[in-house]
Amino acid sequence: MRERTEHGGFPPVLIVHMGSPEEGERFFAERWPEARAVSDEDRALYAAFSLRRGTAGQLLGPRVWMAALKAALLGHGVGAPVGDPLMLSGWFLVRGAVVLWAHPHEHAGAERRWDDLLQAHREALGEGASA
Amino acid sequence: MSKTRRTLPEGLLERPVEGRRLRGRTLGEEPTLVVFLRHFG
Repeated sequence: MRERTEHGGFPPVLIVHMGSPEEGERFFAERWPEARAVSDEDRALYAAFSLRRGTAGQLLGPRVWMAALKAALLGHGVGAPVGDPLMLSGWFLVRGAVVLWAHPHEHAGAERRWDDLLQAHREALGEGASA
Repeated sequence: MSKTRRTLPEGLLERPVEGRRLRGRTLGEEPTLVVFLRHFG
């Protein structure tokens, strides 16, 4: 994702994680120094965005294994869990308190929908320009 | 994926948060991608 954000047309990113602020700082200082990140140890933000704990199938099912295999072939590993390892992840395009686009991940290996995200972002910018 | 718009619970954005490189209001008028992680890495 870091590489994607360096191209024009990508919205600013805010990362939410379940680690402590110190854990977040250690990770991002090394891997993505410019990243903005919020620690959400009590998962209040996850809940506010309706993210839930996954079922066994969502966390360990064949789609997850296929995604892990694909990632491994590309040289990507699976990071260490922080917080609740059963929680599912998600992406949301937000303006103020309005969620413009939502992609709560349907399982732990969900694909990243870059095109959908960028389309939603372009639409949001168009709305802002015409307002 | 959903394009159905919803509004976040009242007061959520005023809730103090801890993190890094945060400035002013965390979510403003500029569309922002909020990424919820399962793990680091």
